[in-house]
Formats: sequence, structure tokens, C-alpha cells
Amino acid sequence: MTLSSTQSVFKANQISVKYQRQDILDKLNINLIDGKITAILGPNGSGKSTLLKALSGLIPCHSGKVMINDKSLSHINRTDLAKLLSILPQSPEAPTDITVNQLVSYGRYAYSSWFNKNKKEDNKQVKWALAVTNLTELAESFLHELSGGERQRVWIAMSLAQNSDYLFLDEPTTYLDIRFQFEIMQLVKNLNQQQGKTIVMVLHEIQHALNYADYILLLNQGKIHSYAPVEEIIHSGAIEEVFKIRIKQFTENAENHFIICNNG
Amino acid sequence: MTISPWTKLTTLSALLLIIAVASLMIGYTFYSLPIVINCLLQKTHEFAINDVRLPRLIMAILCGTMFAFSGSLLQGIFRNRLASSETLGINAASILFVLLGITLWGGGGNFSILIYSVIGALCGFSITLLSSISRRNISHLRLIIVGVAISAFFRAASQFMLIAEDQKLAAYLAFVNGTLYTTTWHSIQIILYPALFLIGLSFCFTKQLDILLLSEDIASNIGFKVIKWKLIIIILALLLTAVAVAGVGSLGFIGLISPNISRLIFGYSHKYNLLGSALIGSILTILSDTIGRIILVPFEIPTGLIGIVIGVPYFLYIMRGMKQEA
Repeated sequence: MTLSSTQSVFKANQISVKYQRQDILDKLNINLIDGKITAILGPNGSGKSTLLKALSGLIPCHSGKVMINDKSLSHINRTDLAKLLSILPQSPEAPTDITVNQLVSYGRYAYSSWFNKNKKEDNKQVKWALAVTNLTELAESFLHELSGGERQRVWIAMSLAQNSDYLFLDEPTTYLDIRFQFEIMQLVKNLNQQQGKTIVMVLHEIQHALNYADYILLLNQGKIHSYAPVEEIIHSGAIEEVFKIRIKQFTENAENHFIICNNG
Repeated sequence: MTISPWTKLTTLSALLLIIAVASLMIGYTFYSLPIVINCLLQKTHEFAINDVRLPRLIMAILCGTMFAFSGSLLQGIFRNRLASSETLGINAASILFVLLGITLWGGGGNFSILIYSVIGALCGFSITLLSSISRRNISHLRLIIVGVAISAFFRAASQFMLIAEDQKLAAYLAFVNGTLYTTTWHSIQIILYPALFLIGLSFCFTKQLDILLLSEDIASNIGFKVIKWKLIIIILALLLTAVAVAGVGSLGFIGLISPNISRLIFGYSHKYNLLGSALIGSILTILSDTIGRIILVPFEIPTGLIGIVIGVPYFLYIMRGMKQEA
């Protein structure tokens, strides 16, 4: 790993988030690892989704600052922010009679203005986003005609159309059948390796995090327990300690796989 | 089965034209089509057509469109098919303020009625909105329930005013229920320019209205300034309502059901369903008015009441459909 790839331009300095006077996040410091997949793990109520929302400016920080390229997030306007980072929240909603193509093209909203309408570039980006997510053939389908897995891919395609370096995903596999969960995780991995996107995702399934992420950010009670590469975090026993489970590891075709077991 | 939206819009426009002409023919006295056409071309002059039915027809189209638009905008903003100027307490508040204004400062027949109405719309909506906030959050269901309650309150206050100020306000009894009976060329003059301006302005926001149908965090994520656009569109909806109320009083159900019917026919995209909403709102208003003046001749039944009689069964039908959706 070269030095430059670990020099993060996305930082959180001492950020705190309160909800009804209760600390959800308590003075977190994060240097996001660029060009990698970071999975945010933590028990229920540890503040995972809140952290993702705070990092992407969907909710304000009570104190502290999120910095992108040395600029405070709160000073970047929404349109510019949409070109820098895209966040896919949990269970997003759209009218069900919208076509895939139309919904994905909303991802280009930040690039359109009264004076400047670059339809060609927009169409190119939308086409590319549909191709990468394997949706080209479904482009004219309505949202209500799609399966849960396909729908999730549409939302990811919309985020991709934003053409941002950072892609934040909040539990992208929730409510999906296991086959589609793997499909989405593989898609995320491809986006990172082939398109060079920095990906941060909140995951409920520890197994997905261990098998598909490069780094794990472990949250516990609103504080960062550890933020380290997957191998390192497994050896430290941090996940087993926080979740009170055991992790078993096996190797197949020279690849490491992980299984979560009950701490019986 | 896909019919292009333009075909549907053409069909609706044709229907509007037929109903409009019919409304000029039918009434206490019946006029044949040639007479109506001659009157419209100003070759002959029939008082009942040129000075009674024609202004009513124009008023019906203007106010039907405005109520339908304010409904479309509010339903888009709140992503709730039950939202409308009626269910959010806006109509009732506007009416009360018009009555109050006329009693206190007078000016029933001039532009001041517009000002009273706008102030009422702002007050009604603010009160509904503020009363439904809990823990810095607005539940969309609570908003409607609170709106209906506030509406009932303002309506009762209006009734009280009518009784207490019998002499000054006797002419406004029908106004409370929504009527075209009092429409003259003069009353059209009062609302014409603001109405045309606001109706035209509404078409500028079709793209924003479409994006507002996405959940809020997704809309902000793509760089859409949710709060800014919501505020602008709410103000537009309030002005549309206020001008329409100044014209005909409250035609509550027009604003509630027109956007719903339009959405069923044209789908989510406001590019078409806003136009559809206008056509349907106009058709329903003309129908209500025409039916109101022929079933109990020579008495007039307020348009708003007929609107409710037509509207409620349809509304119940929509509600059944909504259950299945969820």
C-alpha cells in the first residue's frame, strides 16, 4: 500500500450528535481510508446509521466538523456535495410508477441548471450507471415490476449517476433474500475495484463485512472501538468482544472466508 | 394497454368543451346550441347566457383549476393523497378571514377580499402546521387529522359570524359553502390576473414536484434543496387557494379529488398530471354548478355542496384503493 492511498481527504474531527439531549455519537475522530471499502459495524443502537448520516450531511453535527478536502461539510452547498458524495439511505422511497431510467437520471440533478443542460453527458452517465449495475435491459421497466434486489440496484445506479468519489450505503442488503445480498455485495466490491469508488457502508451482517470490506469501523455505544483492516481487527478479537460471538475462519482456493458462530 | 398522455389530455379537453357548452345551454331557461354559439360570437345577446352563465363558466374553470392545483401541490409536498386546501384548514380559515374583513373594514366587492383571503390562508395553514409539530417532527397523518379539526373550528366560527352579523353578511351565506351564484363579470375582474399568473407559475414547478415525491433524504442526496422548494411551493399553493376562495368560497372536495383522479389517469409525473388535474377540476366544478342550478329550479344549491355529494363517494372509492396499496 502506497502512502498516498492512505492519506485521507475525508475526515471527521470530534463530531458529536445528540438526539433529545442524549449523545448518539460522542466526539468521534475518523480519517476515512480512501479508495477502499469501509464497513461500519456495531450492535443495535451504537449509532451506525447516525454516523453515516452525519458524515454525509443529512443530519447536522451538534459539535465538531466533517471535512472534505480541507473544506467543512457545512460550508459546501447541497449541489456541490452531491457531486462529491452520494448516500443511499435505508428504505428509500419513490413513486412506484416511475421507470428505472427516469429514477436513475435523477442522479444527474446536481449537474443540471437553468443555463447549462448537458444532455449528452447526462445520458452517457445514466447509461453507464445502468450498465454497471446490470440494468440496461430493465431501463424502461416500472419500479413496481422489479424484485427487491433489482430495486436496490436501481438505487445504487442512481447514486452512481451522481459520479461522486464517495459512495455511502446504509444497510444495502436489508430485506433482501440471501442470493440478492451476495449480488449487492459483489456489485459493491466491483464498484470499488473497477471504478475506484471509496465506499462506506453500514452493515448488519458481520459476515458480509468480513468477506467483502477492506476495513472495519467498529462502533460501540457512540464511540469508535476500532478502525482497522479486516485481518487485523479479527486477530485483535474486537468484534468477538463487542458482539459476544465467535468468528471461524477457513480457507478455500487460497481465499479466506469467515463464519459467525454463537458464543456458547 | 398504453394510451399516450396527450391522447388522454385531448379527450379530457373535449369533455370539458362539451360540458362547458352544455352548461351554457341548460338552466332555468333552455337555449339551443345555435343560440349559444351566436351569443358567444356576440351576434346576439341573451342576458342569461352572456351575463349569467358565461361568467359562471369562466369562474368555474379558473377556480376549479386553482383548487385542483393547490391540491396537486400540497399532495406532492406532503406525499399524502389526503392533503388539500380543505383538509389542511386553509379554505375554512380563508373564508373566516374574508367574513371578518368585510365586517370590520368592509369592501366585499373589491380587491381587498383577496388580501383578507390570503391572510386567512396563511393563518390557517400556519396554525395547522404548528399544531401538528411534535418533537420537531410532523407526522403526515397527524397533519391531516389536525387540519380537519382546525377546519371544523374555522367553519363554526364563520357560521357564528353569519348569525351575529346577519345584516352585513346575509349575502355571504352561500359563499361559505362555495357558490358560483354570485359570480358576475365584476367578480371575475377581481381574481382574473392573479389567477392566470398563479396558474401559469404552477407549470414552472413540475420537475421540483416530481423530485419531492422521493423520500427527503434521497432528494437532498441528489443535491435538491428540499426545504427551499417546499417553502416556495407551499406559498404558491396557499396563494392559489386564497384567490380561488376569494372567487367562489370553498369548493373543498374539488381540490381533494381532482389530483387523485389525475394521478390515477396520468401517473406520478406532474408534466401531465398537473394539466389533467386542471381539466378534471374544471369539469367537476362546472358539473357541480350546473347540477346545482337545475335540480331544484328555481332554487340554487351551492356548488360546494354538490361537489361534496359527487366527491365523497369517489373519495371513499379512492380510500379503498389506498388500503390495498399499503
